[in-house]
Amino acid sequence: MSSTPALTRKPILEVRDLKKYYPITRGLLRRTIGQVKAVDGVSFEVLEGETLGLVGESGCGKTTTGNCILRGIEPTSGEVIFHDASRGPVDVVNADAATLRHVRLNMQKMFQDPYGSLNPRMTLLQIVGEPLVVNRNMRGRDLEASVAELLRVVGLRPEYMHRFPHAFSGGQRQRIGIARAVALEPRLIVGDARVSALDVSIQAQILNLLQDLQAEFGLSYLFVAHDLSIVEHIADRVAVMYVGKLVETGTTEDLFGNPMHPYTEALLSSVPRPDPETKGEEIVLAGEVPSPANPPTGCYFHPRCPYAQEICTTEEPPLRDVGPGRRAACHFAEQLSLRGVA
Amino acid sequence: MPPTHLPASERPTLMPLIATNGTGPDAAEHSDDLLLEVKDLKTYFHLSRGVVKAVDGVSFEVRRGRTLGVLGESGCGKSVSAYSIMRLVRPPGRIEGGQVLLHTRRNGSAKGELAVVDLTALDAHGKRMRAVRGGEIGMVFQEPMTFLNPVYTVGSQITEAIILHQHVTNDRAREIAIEMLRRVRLPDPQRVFERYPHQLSGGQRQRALIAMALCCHPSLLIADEPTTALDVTTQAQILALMRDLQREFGMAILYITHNLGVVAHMADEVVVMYLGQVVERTDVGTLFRDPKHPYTQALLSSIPKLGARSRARLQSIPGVVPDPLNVPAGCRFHNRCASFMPGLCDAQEPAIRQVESGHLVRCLLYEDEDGRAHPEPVRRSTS
Repeated sequence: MSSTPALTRKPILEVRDLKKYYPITRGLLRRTIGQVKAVDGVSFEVLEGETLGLVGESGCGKTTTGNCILRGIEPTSGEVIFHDASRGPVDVVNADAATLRHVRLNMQKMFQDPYGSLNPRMTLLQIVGEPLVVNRNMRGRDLEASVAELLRVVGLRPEYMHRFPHAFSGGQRQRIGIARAVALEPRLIVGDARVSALDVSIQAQILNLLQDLQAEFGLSYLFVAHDLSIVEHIADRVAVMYVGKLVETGTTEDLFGNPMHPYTEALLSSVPRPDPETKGEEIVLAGEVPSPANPPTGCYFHPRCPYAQEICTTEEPPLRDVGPGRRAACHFAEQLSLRGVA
Repeated sequence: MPPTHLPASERPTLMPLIATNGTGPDAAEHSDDLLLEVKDLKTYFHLSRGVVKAVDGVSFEVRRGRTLGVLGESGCGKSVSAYSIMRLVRPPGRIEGGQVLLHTRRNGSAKGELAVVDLTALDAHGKRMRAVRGGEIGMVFQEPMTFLNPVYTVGSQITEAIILHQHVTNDRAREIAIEMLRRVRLPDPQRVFERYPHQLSGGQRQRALIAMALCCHPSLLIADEPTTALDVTTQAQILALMRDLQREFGMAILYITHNLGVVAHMADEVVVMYLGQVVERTDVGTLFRDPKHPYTQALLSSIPKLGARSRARLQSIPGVVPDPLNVPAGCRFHNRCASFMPGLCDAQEPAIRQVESGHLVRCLLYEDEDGRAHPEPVRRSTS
């Protein structure tokens, strides 16, 4: 969105080898008999002022990754480094309560479900104003003025501030959630971009709003998403996840135009495009996403991969550099010429 | 694909009347092809705050073996239309007018003879309607878990539907059900038959629901956003499956969705709905190549297109869908329309008119002072 080339920008968030395992227990003594590797060694960074889209099917660990970054859930291991403007790099995973509180002012979560994430018994003034009351000790007229301004920023009428969430439509509720997320002027927003639940015409309004806010406040976004046409529209760079691991990362243009992992290719081709001429061109993947409790051997994608070879069943491909700013976890990333979207 | 484990005499019969009729997608448009005619359907909900005209004079036709896409945003009345066809509208909702004509060749008519039944005239709980619902018309819904009973196995729920509509023994119903589960490409159908809904994934549940809808070989399948809750890869699987099954069984599909991509891939013809009315109706190619109604045009330009590589702002439709209790006067879209003509669109309610062969539009732009329809917008001299 900004004209600065992505590579010269500084990172605002670095995630190193993040892992979140859940034990599988059995019996009266809750013996651990296995582990669900929901997030298994994920590394990426979000640069200042950019939007990173984290995509994958449900159950791939993308939402868990987002929650671990904010320490909504405790990661099993790994590092999450937030580059704070005043304190420099802070390791979120090992931060004490006071530091965490400070970091969370600058790193906000935007919730995915516009119905479940707003308390039905609080007015907009209370919902949007809560972060200001708690962190800035705002009261009375100041608070009302700030909330009115926030509502105006996200395109809601300030007069609505004494209403309750039930009076608003899905799109308006998304706006309320956005207003609350930007209330403390954070530098990074971690959000589940579930705009696909919205009507087409409203979806466009929300996407435009998110872009406007980014330009206005210099925000960075980490979006967890599954609708690829939206990711392409909003993200500067994309990371693709499959069964707890990253399989490909790159700039949006490279990755969509010229995917280097067969999973990315399949994911792109399975989006039905609003063009009847493309009917029947999609790659339909066989089978389902394997369970992270019992993943296949070798490359996790090999049972569904149309290009799988002998080596794929035994040897797990590492995520490696395959070009400038480009990483892919496929033994044959360079040999395959995969179909992107042009 | 005949089942290999059954002797020929035991194989389930596949809708012989439809199959021998050879109604493929290329079949010529005989009046004989008509399967369902919805004529001026009106379904209103009588609430204490007023009357919501959820479906307000909707007309369309579904032809045998073809797919009609119903496209619209939430609250446009697309699901209520489907529920009205199935006679599943509950109070305070009521069908206030119009007809739903099913051209049927089944019981009640002489063999092979066409009989036309008005579903709105039937008793919603009567024997005839219950035979149509789940028999001649099958339905799949958005959230499969809501329509599967969690305390019964998938198999027992499918066999229940089979026994209800076909006079067969339990064992025979079981065979038909397992065969159907195989045909919706569920791996290990015998095992799935014994499973409870929560033991299946979302995609598997949707397949099981499709199997249930198809086990009585309906001539029409109503699909109400069946893939909206699924991942894109699973969605691609289900869409491909539905197209294959349509070819196999020759059934017609009424496909309800808000997703323009899905419509482009599934539909032969499309009706676009806005606030309880059909605003545009044409074949799928024309809809995407030459949309006429400003609402359709706005919808098409408001979605990010994969591969467009454009980060430009999306053209959003201003405002929100109006309150259905308080529908704008004149054209219902006028307060959000880019081509709004003051003094005209807010005063006169446009009628739906044929502007080109097979292309119907409800918009005053395509109408001149004398009320004649034109294929391109007419410049009117308004004050």
